Amino acid sequence: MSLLTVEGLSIRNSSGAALVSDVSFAVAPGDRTGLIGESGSGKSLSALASVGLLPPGLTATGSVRLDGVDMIGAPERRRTGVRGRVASVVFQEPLTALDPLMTAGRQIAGPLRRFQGLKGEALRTAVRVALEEVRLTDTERIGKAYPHQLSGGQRQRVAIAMALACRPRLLIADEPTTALDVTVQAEILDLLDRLVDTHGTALLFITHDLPVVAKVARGAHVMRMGRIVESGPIIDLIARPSDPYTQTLVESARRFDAALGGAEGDSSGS
Amino acid sequence: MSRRPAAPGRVVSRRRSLHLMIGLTLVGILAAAVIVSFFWLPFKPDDTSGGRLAPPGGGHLLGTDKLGRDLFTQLLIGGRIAFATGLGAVAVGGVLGVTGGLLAGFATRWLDDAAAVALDILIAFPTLLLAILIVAGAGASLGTAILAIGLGMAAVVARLTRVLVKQVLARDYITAARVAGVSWPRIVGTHVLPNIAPVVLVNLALQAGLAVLAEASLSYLGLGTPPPNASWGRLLFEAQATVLTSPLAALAPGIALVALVIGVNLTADGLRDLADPTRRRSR
Repeated sequence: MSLLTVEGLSIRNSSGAALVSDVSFAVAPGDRTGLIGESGSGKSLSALASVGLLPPGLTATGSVRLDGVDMIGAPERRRTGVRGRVASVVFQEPLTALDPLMTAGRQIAGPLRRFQGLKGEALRTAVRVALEEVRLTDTERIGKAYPHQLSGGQRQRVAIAMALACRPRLLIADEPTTALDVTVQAEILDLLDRLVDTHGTALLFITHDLPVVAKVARGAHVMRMGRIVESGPIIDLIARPSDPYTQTLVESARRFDAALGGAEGDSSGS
Repeated sequence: MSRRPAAPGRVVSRRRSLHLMIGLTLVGILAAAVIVSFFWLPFKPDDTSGGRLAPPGGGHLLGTDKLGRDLFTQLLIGGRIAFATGLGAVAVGGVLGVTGGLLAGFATRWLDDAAAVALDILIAFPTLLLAILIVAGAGASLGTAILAIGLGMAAVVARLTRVLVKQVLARDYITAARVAGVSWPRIVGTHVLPNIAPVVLVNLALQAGLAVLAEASLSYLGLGTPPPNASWGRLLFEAQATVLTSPLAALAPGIALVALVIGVNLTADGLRDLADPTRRRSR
């Protein structure tokens, strides 16, 4: 059974305009799926809907089942239960993803305390382990630092540590590298790749960047204007894009590679 | 939230802490005088043995008023009323305003619009006019004045709180907490309230200064604290007739009022730093 199944999902705003229409995809346990699309294509909304957390004023129809629980129709109490146990999210902008008034350590400690009942020394150790896991050195200082005292890359690592602290079975990464420097981007991608691999976490990776998704995901869905226009293994999408929009995406990625000297131009072929 | 370069931030921070020091000193001196007044007063409030309109001297530090009461004693009692108004109105306005603003911040769709319009209408009403209406209806007393000023303040605080709550709720760390299955009351307690607190507290402190002024205005108009309890506003009114012969009777309550309001405002300004870790110096 799939961990997350989305079928015929449509999202409308309060005036009835469709922001997402008839979107279907599934993420199996341990699987890695990408959602690719430009700004406003509905990829982030689809992801939020899959944990049942649409912004106020938006309504979802269709079927979203996360670990068997209906995330659209089920009572809030059941949805809250499944969210914390099963899924967690890493956001685009690590500055707003962390509470500015809480030290990094306390924010990582929150879910550990709630879900694993850790206290005192055990909790401190778990926080340190979580920070070491995301390759942060100087865990002593970072644990005590407020978000504004950390660099963008460090913040995103803390956010990842927070999201993975309780070993969720599904990690939703909503453009986790978009707000970062290119060099930091690669490090964060490697980190996510390795952590998801070690823990067997399923990954739903949302991005507008085709090369980025090619690095971490196997299958992907291309979204445009609220619809999925093309789906399939990422290798096929790049080698034989059938939808005109996917073709422009691949085209521009190739042109970018070529502009850089074409050193990696052949790595994207089948 | 915004990242400032370190150096100018330091300068601002240093000036702020100077504000805080001056503000706290002013408020502290006045508060100490008020506390002392509960245990010791130079004369009984209704002691008229000094003679009418006596000049300063002979035990009467500031002289006496036109009924022969000691002015310094009246000033101290006025201080009690000023502090009671400031604290009382902030308590009323803070509790009602933050509660109302929190609820309005969580409202969506038509309820949200309704709350916004209702608050705007309340704020469009000048606080002093609202207070005069309430006092006219309920009768002049210190309690009514505090309640009236507090209600006017609640609208301002509620509108501020509502906007702040909406800002915080839109942040990803709230979504992250909800994904992690944290309940709403916990989210409000651990994320929302601490994040709106700095701005709300600073605003409440500013409002406290305004409340003291509002009460003095009401008393000046005869709508605040009724005699024989001397509010600074009423002292000013009574001194008006004899301002040329005994200017001290008007100057003293005026200076006390200005000192308290400036002290409170400077304190409010300085408080910003203490509540905001992004402006606090890193350890």
